[in-house]
Order: sequence, then C-alpha cells, then structure tokens
Amino acid sequence: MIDFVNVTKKYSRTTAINRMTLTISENGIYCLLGKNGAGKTTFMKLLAGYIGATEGEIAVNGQSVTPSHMPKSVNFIESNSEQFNMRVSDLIESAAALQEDFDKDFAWEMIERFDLKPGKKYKQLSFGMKTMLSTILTLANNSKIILLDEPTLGFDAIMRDQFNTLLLESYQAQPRIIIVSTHMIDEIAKITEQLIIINNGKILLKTGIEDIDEHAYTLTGPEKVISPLIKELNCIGKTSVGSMMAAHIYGDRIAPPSGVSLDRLTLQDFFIQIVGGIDHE
Amino acid sequence: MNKSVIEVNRLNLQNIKIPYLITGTIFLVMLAQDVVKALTAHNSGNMVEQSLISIGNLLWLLIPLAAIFVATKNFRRLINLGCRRGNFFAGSLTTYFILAVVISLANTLIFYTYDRFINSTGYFYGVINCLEVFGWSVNGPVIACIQQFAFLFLVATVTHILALMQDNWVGWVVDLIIIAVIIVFTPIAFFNLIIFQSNAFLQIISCLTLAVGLYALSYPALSRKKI
Repeated sequence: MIDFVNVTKKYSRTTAINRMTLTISENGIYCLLGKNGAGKTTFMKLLAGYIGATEGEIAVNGQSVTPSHMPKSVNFIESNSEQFNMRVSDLIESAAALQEDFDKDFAWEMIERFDLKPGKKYKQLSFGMKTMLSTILTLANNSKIILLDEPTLGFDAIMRDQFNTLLLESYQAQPRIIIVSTHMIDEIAKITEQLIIINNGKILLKTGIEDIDEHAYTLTGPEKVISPLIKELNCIGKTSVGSMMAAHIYGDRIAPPSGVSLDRLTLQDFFIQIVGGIDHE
Repeated sequence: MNKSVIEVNRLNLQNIKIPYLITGTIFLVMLAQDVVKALTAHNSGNMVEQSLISIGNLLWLLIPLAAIFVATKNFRRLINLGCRRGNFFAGSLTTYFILAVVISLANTLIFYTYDRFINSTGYFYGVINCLEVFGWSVNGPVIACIQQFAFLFLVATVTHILALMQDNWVGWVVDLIIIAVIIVFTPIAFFNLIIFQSNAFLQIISCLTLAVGLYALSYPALSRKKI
C-alpha cells in the first residue's frame, strides 16, 4: 500500500510536487499521466526513495520511505537509465545475483520473446531495445510495487504493442501495483485499469479507466444550443467553429437534445482537455 | 559474504576500464622510456645523469582512479541493476581491499626485482620507489608489502568517500579545498603516523583503523545520496 500525505518536493525554487496526498491500496496497472514537468518522475523517485521529500510523509506498507530507507518492495526504472556496457546475458545474470527475488526464467523468456540478442553488449542495442532490457530487468523482480518511467520511449508501434503484452503477462503472472508513466495514452489504456493524472505537482484525478469511458464525452451541435446546456455540466474544454460548438464534458451522461450529438471522449482527448483544456475559437 | 556483495565486487573490478587503461598506458609508456634510456646509456657507454621513478609507483594511480569511478559511475549503474545500498557499501570495500593487495604485491615485486636490476646496471643514479622513500623496505618485503597495502587501502576509502559525497562539480571544488586545507594544516605527526611511522605495526593498524572507521562513518552519506 502506498501513502503520500501532504508531500512537497522542491528543487531550489521550483516546486515539483506540491502538497500531494494519495493512497494506492489495490493491485493493478496504474497509468500515470501528466504534461512534461508535471512531476511524474519526481513522484516515482520519491516513492522509490531515490530522493527525499522536502515536506510530508511517504510510506509503503506502513514503512516510511526516505533515501536512507529505500523500500525493498519497490522497484523503479527510468527510460534512460544507465547500465553497465555488458552483454545482455551478463546483465541478466548480474541482476539475478544482485536481487533477492529476481525471476530469471521470466527474464530469459522475455529476452527471447523480444528478440534481444543475449550476446550483444548494452551499447550495441538501439535506444528502444535498451529501454526494453531495463524494463525486463525491472519486471523480472518480484517486488510488490513496480514503477516504470516512460518505458515506451523510443519504441516503434510493434514494440509498444509487445511491451503492453509483456506488462499484462507480467501482471497476470504476479498481480501487484505497477505504475507506468507514459505519453502513449490510448495505447496504455488498452491494458491499464486505473488512471492517475498529475498536474503542477498535484493529483488532478485518480479514477478507473471505465469511469472515463462512462463519464467523459463530447457534445457537438449549434453553439446557441450547447452554450446554455453546458452551464449545468462540468465542461472541461470546448471548441467553436463558426456557429458550431464541441463541448467536452466530464460527468454524468445526459440525453442530448435534438440536433446535438454525444460522442465518447478518447482518453487522450480527455487528458488534453482536463490538463490543458482551453477554449478554441 | 552474500552473493550480492560478491557480485558488486565482481562488477566493480570488471567495470573500471578507464582507470585500468590510464594506469596501464602510463605504466607501459614509462617502462618503454626506461628501456630506451637504458639502451641509449648502454650503447653510448655514458651514465644517464638522473634518477628514475619506479614504474611500480605508477600502479598506485589505479587506486584513487578506481575509487572515483566506483563511487560516481558504478554506484548508479549498480542501483539500476537492483543493487541495495548496503551491498554496494560492502562490495566496494571488498573491491578496494583486493585492489590494494594486488597493487601492493605488484609494486613490492617490482621493487625487489626490476628496480634492483635497473640499479645494478649502473646506468642511472638510482630508482625512486615509495617503498624505500617511506622507509617501509627496511622491514623486509612481507611487512613492507602489508604497510603499503594498508596505506593504499586508506587512500582508496578516503577517495571513495570524497567522490561519493559529491553530486556535482561544486562538490569537487569543495573536495579540492578540503584536501588543500588538510595538506597545509594537518600536523606532520599525522603523516608520520600513516606513512613515515618507524613502527610498522602501528602504521598498519593506524591506516586500517582510519580506512574502516572513515568508511563506516560515510554510510549515512551513502544512504542519503540521491540517485
């Protein structure tokens, strides 16, 4: 179980995390969304004990988390993490020797699945392959909490699809808390169950993906019909073109009046509207 | 010793290629220079009017270079492989122990073979080796080797601590200032204790106690180090 209570993290004059309070108690794949600089990486580093909070309390399973008390149950990897320039096979063996709960069979299975050449040295791998290897090394650890920061950076569409499969299989093999920060929103939506949106160092939203499916929608129609209609609704953004308007809503669905269409809002559009929602004329 | 600690040590020894390269290159260049000078003196029949610095002393360079690399480069990579800080702490100390033993043995061997051979040729004024300069060689090869090991072990741990505690270039400047202050203001008695001490046992114990003590005291800094 993860507990953030009024956590603030400042870098000199910049506040990366601002009085964040969050509890995650259930296993699942959590998608962490936020603009660049929203505080996603800082959030993960704080949770892993890589850095310390300026204020507030962070706990994992009731144990306080600080750089001097890095939780054993948390495993974190960044997309551009440095590794020794060793053969892939040697890195697997070293990780197995260094980590208490390393599942070597799973790691080897994934290495074969993703066609990572065991004899190749780390620096000979493409950027995407390096990221994939680091992700496999992390997922192969049987930690109860896995943090993946931008794990699909540098992946092509096929690799992203393979990665999603890897993540899902890893989760099915061992249900736990997996938090993935990514910008590939709609792709991760296929496998994730929970959504956490960070904005300006604060939790903007924590909800289930099905909640977004159910409550996020767009009303499109004449502006003179839409404008009065949305006064009573939670409008998170709107776009006007001529006399027509598209209003993005997050709330209970309504029965649209005649001349107005109601369409489901994709996760990516929902994210764009809720984080950077502005009026477009 | 658990397998994580052994693995940290193995990875450290395997991943200090630049220190190996720098030390090895300097060693070979100086060796070649010695050979060329000796051959020139042999052919001309004239003595080279200078003393040589023993190539064995050049191996000492590996100790601080390795400590800097372990603390700055290997630390992060080991953590990324899932290493715990405690295992890095123990594993790195083992690395320094092994490096100090190997370098001490190598320099002692060079002192009693290569340096003596060079001296016997009569082509140079002499060969300067710290084993002799620091007065360790008067205690015989075994004790001298242990004295050298203890001193190098201390150098490794102090360098490791200074490197580990710094997260950016400002830290290195602070380190240099601290080193300068130590050199200028530390009483000569301190250097007498860890280097020039005539009682070999006291010198060895002082160096080892300081090395292990300082290293242990640095653990809180390691445990708070940002990644």
